[in-house]
Amino acid sequence: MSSLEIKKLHKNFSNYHAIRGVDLQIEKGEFTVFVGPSGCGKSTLLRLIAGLEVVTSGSILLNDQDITDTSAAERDLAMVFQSYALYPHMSVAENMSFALKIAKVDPKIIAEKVADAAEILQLTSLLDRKPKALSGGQRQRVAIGRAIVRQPSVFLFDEPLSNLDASLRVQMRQELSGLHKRLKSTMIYVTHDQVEAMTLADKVVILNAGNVEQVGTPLNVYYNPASRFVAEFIGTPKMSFIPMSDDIKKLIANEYDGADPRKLTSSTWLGVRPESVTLSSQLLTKAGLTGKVSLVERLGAETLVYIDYLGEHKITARADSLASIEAGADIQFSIDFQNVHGFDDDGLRLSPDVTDNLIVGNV
Amino acid sequence: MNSRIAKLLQAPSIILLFLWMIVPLGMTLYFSVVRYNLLSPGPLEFDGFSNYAFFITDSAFLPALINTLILVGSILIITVVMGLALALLINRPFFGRGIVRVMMISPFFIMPTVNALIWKNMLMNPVYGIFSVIAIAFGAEPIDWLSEMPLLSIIIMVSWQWTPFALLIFITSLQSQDTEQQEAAQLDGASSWAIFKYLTLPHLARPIAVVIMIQTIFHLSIFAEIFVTTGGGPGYDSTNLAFLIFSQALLQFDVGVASAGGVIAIILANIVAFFLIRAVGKNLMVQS
Repeated sequence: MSSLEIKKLHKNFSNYHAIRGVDLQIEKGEFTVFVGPSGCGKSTLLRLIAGLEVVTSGSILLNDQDITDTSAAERDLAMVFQSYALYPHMSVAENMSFALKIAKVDPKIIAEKVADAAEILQLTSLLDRKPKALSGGQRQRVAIGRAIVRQPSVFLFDEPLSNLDASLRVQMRQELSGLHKRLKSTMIYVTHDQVEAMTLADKVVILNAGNVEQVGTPLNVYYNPASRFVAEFIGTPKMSFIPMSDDIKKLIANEYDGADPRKLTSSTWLGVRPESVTLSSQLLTKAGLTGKVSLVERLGAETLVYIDYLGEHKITARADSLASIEAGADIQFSIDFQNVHGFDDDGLRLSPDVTDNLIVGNV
Repeated sequence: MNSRIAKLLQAPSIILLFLWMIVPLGMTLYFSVVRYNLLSPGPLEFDGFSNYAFFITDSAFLPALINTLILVGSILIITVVMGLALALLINRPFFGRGIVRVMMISPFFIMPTVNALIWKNMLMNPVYGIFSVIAIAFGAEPIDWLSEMPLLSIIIMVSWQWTPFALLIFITSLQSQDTEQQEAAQLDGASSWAIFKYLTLPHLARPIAVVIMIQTIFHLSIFAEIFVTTGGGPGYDSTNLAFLIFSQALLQFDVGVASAGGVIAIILANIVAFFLIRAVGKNLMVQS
């Protein structure tokens, strides 16, 4: 188990500033997930930690030791790649034991460790196969096994599940989570999939254009997004944004008897999650806003309703599975202002944090 | 029905290719067992295997055979090692790589005769060749390459021409090597040498096999370089099988003996190919 600290890290590619001053603290045994849209620098950040890219400025500390200029081979980190990067001409066992063989570990100990890792990952019967003869999920397991065998100080995962099909992804996600509980190692995981981020992470790091946008527990990030970017990125369906208007100001005044404890009226945009929108067919008393249904998506367990508000602003709402709502109809809805966030013109959140007792995990 | 039409349409080209191969082969086999000398015209009489016996017992045969094998072996080693080293050298991007690559490959585009003339007259000439100028500049005695070490001279010329071929094949293969695998190996603690040994070399197994096989076929019949420079001499020091056959047929006008030599060369090529394919297959192909 190891801790990792990143200080004022910058990375320039010839004319592109990929990482723009990242400061980050990763505790021992923590499962940290870097998440963000493509091109946000999350993979670059991971590669900088791995030592596969040269740092432009700033420093990386592993257990308080500066490893900024240490070569990848000497950092004692293990990485699982998106393409798995298995050695094609080596068998599963040889793939998993390669690092130990390079380190000239006693063959007996190597065999033991490989057998242990294979046991954990259910690869025992496949040890003699070549990667070519494995399915995607099995290759993924071998790649993880290759990392486990080494008992590295930190595990790095670069979008390890994105090449798997949807159902296998869910299964591997759960296995990874179980693996972390079992090994209790420090793990850093890069993904663009916010579901993976929410389910796996102890700590989520949301990156945007080479900057850290927010760091926190998954639920804290969900309930208290620091900016419009985070609010939009975390949560499916996405948070909807509606411009502040006199109508809404009136509704807020009604709700709080003229007070504005959540500083909503001074915001220019309101971020509304689907669960904060109530359709009027279900609630007749508090209806306040009117829109037009533009699209109805029936998912089986629930129905997603997309409402055009003031013409161009889309609001997403959830409805019952069998709700009788049709596209094109006018609809009335209300908003639960307790859970709505206000954002200013720059996309920063103005409203205070949602009260702590709402949040299960601690920040 | 469809496959019959396909076969029918393919037939002319296949038949043509077959004739292309079988007619010369058949004629060579026929000439090799008859008495056929251009200087003594007359009916072609059946002569058994006396042509073969004559060719094999010729005092030039054994040196020619050994020279052929030395040529093939040493050129293979030099071109594969040099080609690999150069390919690794220019695999990483650097300023001017495109031009360097073209320049490194260009010897392959030069005709063998021109190549031999350049080396003979511009580089290895003991009077005005560049090597002799360099030797004199350092106060050393210039070497008369072509008469003092004729076989080595041929090896140098052919290697210079064929290294680019190996380089070309290796560089394309290196470019297709997965970089994430190398990064994974780096994180596994592998040194550059270990990455080369455990990843790059197995990755190059197939192209190395291809280079070795193609080059073997070509180098068994090196001719132009010998003809233009040493003429097989001094003595038989740089005579290989191909040149010996040539000298039998067109210097001594004995078509029968030359044909017998041709058949022996075919057999030799097959033996070499058989062992090469087995050796290469065992050591390299298995891993990939």
